[in-house]
Amino acid sequence: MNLPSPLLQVRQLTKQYGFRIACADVNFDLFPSEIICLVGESGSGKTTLLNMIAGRIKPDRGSVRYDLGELGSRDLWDLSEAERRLLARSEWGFVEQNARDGLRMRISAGANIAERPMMLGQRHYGKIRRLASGWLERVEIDPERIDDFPDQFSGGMQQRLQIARNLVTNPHIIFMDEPTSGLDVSVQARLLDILRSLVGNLQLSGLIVTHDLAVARLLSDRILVMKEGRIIESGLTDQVLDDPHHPYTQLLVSSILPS
Amino acid sequence: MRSPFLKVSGLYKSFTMHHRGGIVLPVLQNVSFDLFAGECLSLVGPSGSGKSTVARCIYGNYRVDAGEILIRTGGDPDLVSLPNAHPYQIRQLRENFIGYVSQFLRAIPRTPTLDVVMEPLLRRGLDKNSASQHARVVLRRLGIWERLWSLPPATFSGGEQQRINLARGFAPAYPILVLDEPTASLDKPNRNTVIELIQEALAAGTAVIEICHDEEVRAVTATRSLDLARKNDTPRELTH
Repeated sequence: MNLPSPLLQVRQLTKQYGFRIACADVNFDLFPSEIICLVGESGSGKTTLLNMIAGRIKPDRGSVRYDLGELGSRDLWDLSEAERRLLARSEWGFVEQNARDGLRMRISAGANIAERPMMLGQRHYGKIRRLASGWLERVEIDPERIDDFPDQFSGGMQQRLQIARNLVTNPHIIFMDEPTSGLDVSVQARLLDILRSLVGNLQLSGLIVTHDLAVARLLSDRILVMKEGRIIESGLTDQVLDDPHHPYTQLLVSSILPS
Repeated sequence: MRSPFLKVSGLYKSFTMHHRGGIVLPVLQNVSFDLFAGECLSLVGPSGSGKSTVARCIYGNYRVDAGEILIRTGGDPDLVSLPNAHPYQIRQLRENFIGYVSQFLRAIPRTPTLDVVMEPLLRRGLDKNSASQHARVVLRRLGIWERLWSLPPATFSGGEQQRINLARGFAPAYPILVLDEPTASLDKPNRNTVIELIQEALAAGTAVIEICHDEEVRAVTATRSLDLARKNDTPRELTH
């Protein structure tokens, strides 16, 4: 019953914009094969927190330590820019809210998926193409469309393509910023289901920003509730949603429409 | 000396409704009991007396205000405190030590029935083949037609959903199994199957906590009961 060593350790993470606190004194650990959802309304600091943890925004204070296996645990912001980029490309995936920001629109679907494996040194054309076509199938896109451009895809397909592009190199951690928010409900359900089974099969860990508690219920093991830049409540997903303690969490939970 | 699988002491749980003028509902007050292997404790008391709340606290779904819930793991340490466990450890406790069957199935969109039942087995590290075989046996016993197995249960009847939920709860063997109204929407043959499943689990050494309005089921499964109705008093234990 001992805890495994965490993949990520977030300590005292703080960011201010002028006088406005975007994120204050955030502490938590992310364990292997664990999905954490950051919930809260817009402006609560979720995206700032995600971006600091993913190495995209430099915090004012605090640390993000990442377990690099044999190299030990290192603070993200002690690494060089190049090291951070390599880490992001090889160990992490980042799924943007808007698929167009996470895809390259001027290259084919297959090339979008192939980009990361090629950056990490794969060169065999046939192998890469088979890999890309296999991934299109896993995210329920017809592999016949491997040479189509992302522009020719629907919003839901683009989002699924972005997920394939990120997961193709088997990253340890996936970061996602509101992955379902721009999609129709029926399209959302399919995306969530695909995500759910991929996360289970690949033993991924993840940090997902969402304002949608139904998404959190379906995807996450744990929830951190943010308000005004601070974590005001946390726990297992079912604990927080079935027995919310903080007034703000109770407000969020009571605002869900019954299904 | 035998040690209990589950040791509950001085449990308090209240709910504060911050958006209803801060009303505080004190549901559990000083609930204590020990549960040993092969025992079936029936929680009794009128609606609202906190039976389901006790069940949910033991599963770690509700966080207690005060009191202790110790789960015997046979590991190091042998007794793990649920209220003090990290969420990650609560997940481990649920995977291996505490099963829970609620009244309603929380269906996951697009996930087939067979997968719903297999999931807890796969989480324990069973290979797909054995998990699937095992899940099929339990589904068949609970009378879920084979042609439904590949379909997601969202559109099934209440009774079918409950039986799928039961199949999921009974498929893995747990040291502690919590059953909240396991027979509420079942017909007689299926109810009898559930009685058999409970009795088999007890014979295999599982400690069961049940909430069950069906007196007949209770009469043949419960070895003890705990009356939660007496609010101003410590809940009284009745012996059979």
